[in-house]
Amino acid sequence: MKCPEYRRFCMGEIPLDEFAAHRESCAECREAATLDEIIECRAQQLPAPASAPGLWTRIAHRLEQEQSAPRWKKWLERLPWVDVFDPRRQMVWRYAAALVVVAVVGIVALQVLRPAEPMPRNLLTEKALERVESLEVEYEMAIGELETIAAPMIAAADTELMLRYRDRLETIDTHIRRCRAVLAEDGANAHVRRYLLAAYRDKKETLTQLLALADG
Amino acid sequence: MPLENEYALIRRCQDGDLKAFEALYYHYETPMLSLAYRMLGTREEAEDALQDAFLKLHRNIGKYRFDAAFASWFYRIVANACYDRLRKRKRAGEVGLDTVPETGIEEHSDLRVYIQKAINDLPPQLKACFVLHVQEGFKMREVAEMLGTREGTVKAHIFRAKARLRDALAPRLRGFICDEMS
Repeated sequence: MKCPEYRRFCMGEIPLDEFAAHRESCAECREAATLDEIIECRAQQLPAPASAPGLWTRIAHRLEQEQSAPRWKKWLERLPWVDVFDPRRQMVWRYAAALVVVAVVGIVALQVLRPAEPMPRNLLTEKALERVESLEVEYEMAIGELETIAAPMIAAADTELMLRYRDRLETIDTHIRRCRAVLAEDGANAHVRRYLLAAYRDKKETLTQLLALADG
Repeated sequence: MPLENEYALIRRCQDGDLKAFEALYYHYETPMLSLAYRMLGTREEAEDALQDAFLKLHRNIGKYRFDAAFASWFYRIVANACYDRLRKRKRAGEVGLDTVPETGIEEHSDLRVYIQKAINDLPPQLKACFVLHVQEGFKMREVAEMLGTREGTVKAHIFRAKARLRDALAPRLRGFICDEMS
């Protein structure tokens, strides 16, 4: 149809009286409207069956089957969002199932293909930690022995030099206490372990120097 | 015709009374079968769609809250059952029925047969809108609610359906008009 008026009338864009006036002067719209009136009238008169013999028996039979179905199936069917057999929702369920499959495959692939994470640089492995701890124990034992010998000298320190040694040892002890406090929380912290070993080494050397001074 | 004491009948159906459901079936059998037949074009498919619709009604009648007319609510279920079948048919590649309608063809004029054939050949959306509005007499707003679409879409579909029917039937209708006039 070339004339747009009949379409506008059908879409409710122009009122009936306006279209009626137009129809008088437009042969194309007049014919379309006349043909539609005939089609509508005839379509309304088309016969349709009034009853469906045997249909109620079929329906009643299906209802009996449904009522004797397992409880979980009946419960599932009552949930509106689980109506997987509803053809209007089948596409949605297919997409959802595909999405779940893609997500599962993706997660598995990520887990399998992901390269092993390198150990953080500031964390020690079990083996390294054992080695460091045994070294610390050795230092502690050596320092303990030296301290036993040096303790009376430190207590009786009266010269400027001896007092400086005592201050230095106290500073090292403070540092050792701080490192131990941190390692009590995070034993694998390699940085703090290094500081602690350095502090032990420092204390051992200081005590050795002190004893050498006393001997000299 | 409204059902006498429909409220009590529906209440009994909601309580699982099969006799009440049977009464509901026989009350709605004719109008719903007519709708299904007009939408689907064959008696067999119309009966299958109606069976689906009644089973769905039975499963869901507990959800009916009496906040809308029961007939409209049920019409929507039947219309959707038919519409789903039309769409399935389209997906399966069956454009329309090759045969003319089954019921009493010999009793009707050629024109009726051709009109029925032309309606059957309409695409599902156009056909659903045309049948519900023109043949079943629902308002466009009601058709839109039933099919879950907008009123403007229904108007457009009906216009396109009429245009297709005009194109398919115009040669025969022109002859028919001339016969009637003479």
